[in-house]
Amino acid sequence: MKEQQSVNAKQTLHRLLLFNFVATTMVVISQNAFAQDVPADLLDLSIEELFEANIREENPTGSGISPLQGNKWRFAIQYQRSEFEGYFDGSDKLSLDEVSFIPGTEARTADNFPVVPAMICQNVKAFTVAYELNDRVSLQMVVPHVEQSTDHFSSVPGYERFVIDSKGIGDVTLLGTYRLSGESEDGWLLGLGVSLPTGSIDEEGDTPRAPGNQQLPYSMQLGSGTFDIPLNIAYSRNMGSYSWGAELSGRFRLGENDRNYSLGDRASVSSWLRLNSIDWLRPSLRLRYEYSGDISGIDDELLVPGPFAFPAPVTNPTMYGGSQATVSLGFAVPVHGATQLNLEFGKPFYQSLNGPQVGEDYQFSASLNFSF
Amino acid sequence: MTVLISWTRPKNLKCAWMILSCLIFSLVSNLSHAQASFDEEDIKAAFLYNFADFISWPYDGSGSVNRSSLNYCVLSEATVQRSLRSLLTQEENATLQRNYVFVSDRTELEDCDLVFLGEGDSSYFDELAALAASEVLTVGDHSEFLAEGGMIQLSREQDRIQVIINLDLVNQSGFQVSSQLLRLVNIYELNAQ
Repeated sequence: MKEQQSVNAKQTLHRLLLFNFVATTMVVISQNAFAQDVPADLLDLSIEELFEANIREENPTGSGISPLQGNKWRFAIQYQRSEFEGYFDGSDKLSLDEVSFIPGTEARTADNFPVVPAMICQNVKAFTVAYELNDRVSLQMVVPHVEQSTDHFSSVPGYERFVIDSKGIGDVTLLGTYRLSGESEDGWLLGLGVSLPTGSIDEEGDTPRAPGNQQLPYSMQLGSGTFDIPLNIAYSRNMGSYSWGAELSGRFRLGENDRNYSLGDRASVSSWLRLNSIDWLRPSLRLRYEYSGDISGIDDELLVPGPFAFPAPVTNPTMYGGSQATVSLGFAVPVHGATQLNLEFGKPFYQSLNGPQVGEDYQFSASLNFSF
Repeated sequence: MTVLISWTRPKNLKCAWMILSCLIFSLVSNLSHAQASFDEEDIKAAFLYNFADFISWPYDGSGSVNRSSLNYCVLSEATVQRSLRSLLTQEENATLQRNYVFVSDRTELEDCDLVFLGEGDSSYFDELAALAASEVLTVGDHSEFLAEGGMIQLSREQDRIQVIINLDLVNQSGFQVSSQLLRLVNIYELNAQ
């Protein structure tokens, strides 16, 4: 088992390095493909018009920890929707038939289940408030509100089709950012913080496991139940007609929660390229590779008696985590002054999951940033 | 089991609607925001470029020097300098040849017509008096640039760039600022600082 984990870790590391290489190559190629140029429009302006020219606010869409630009306070409202659908075991796609167990037609194994989530929807509304201590250091607090639902199929009489849902405040994150480049918009940005276990891990709902409400699986809980350490290292560079950047981020769990489990650590590397030539609509492209570990420990309330303790894949802690690569198309829309709307649509093009596990179908986010 | 297999949804249609909605929303939200805006460093570089058209150097028009080129000197390569380099290298078939010169040795400052000192070039402030005496126009964007003896400061005010000129020093050094430019700039008054 440990050897297998070691092999998996090595494979993940190789993929991480390969992705990073591809992402860096993309950035280098893009640097050569787009000659750096100041907008030609500036040379066409009269001297009077030059005095009237507005300064464009910088707020890269690629980084989750954008620095404040000379404003003391910044607020952001973000809406993010993710849908999960379709099963993976490793990088192999499985049909619902292969994951489902129908009594009388096939043998029950560790890889088929009487209860099968078909689609998971997650909506997160996050409210961010940030304060700039000085040119380099800012503090921010992110408060998420999570709403999620899972649509199931089941061979249990009376539960052939059922939906469970949960909603509430998730884990609040406190983050400090440090900009190495001082006042310059280009350069390195470091982020380090702590995620507080404010999200519930005791969400209940009506499932086929027993009559009435029972503990919901890990995926339906609102928080991790542990103190976590988020870490970000980002680099961005404005080249005039385009900007590019890269980010390395992680979230590390400290210990186990009250239900004797710990969600897997997460790590991701991403790079992005944004075109600045269209002033009112700046499109961006982002590549992201992320890895997350499986759950360690187990919530005993999710088990059922008998030789097969896990009635659904989402109740098995080893069927969480894996790696995926996502390509995202984004748009940054300056609204007024320092206020900016960011839209991003992402679609995974590679997933290798500890399965059987429901894979991500798409993710969409919209955020409005304003500062004063 | 049949119900499991037949359960599908129009995925592609949903994606298409989402992308289309993003585009429409972006377009609509920008209808009232048509005014052009640029990166700060690009605007500053454009001012540097334009100064040559609105400021006469002491040796211009004297007959002894027929100025067909102008050397823009920088001492470091930060964002404004990169924008300036890009702007000057775009220029084609111009009457006045504007050259981008990276100065690595202080002795090379003698060959400059205009020197730009950026935020990180404050260690060169002790050269400002000598540059003024050498008929070199000095421009900077450091907040203390004029107080330290510079001629023209590019300063950000809200979302625009303001030009502040130490007119006494500029005139003493033999430069002539056009009235068109003078109407737009702020005049630096030493006593007011």
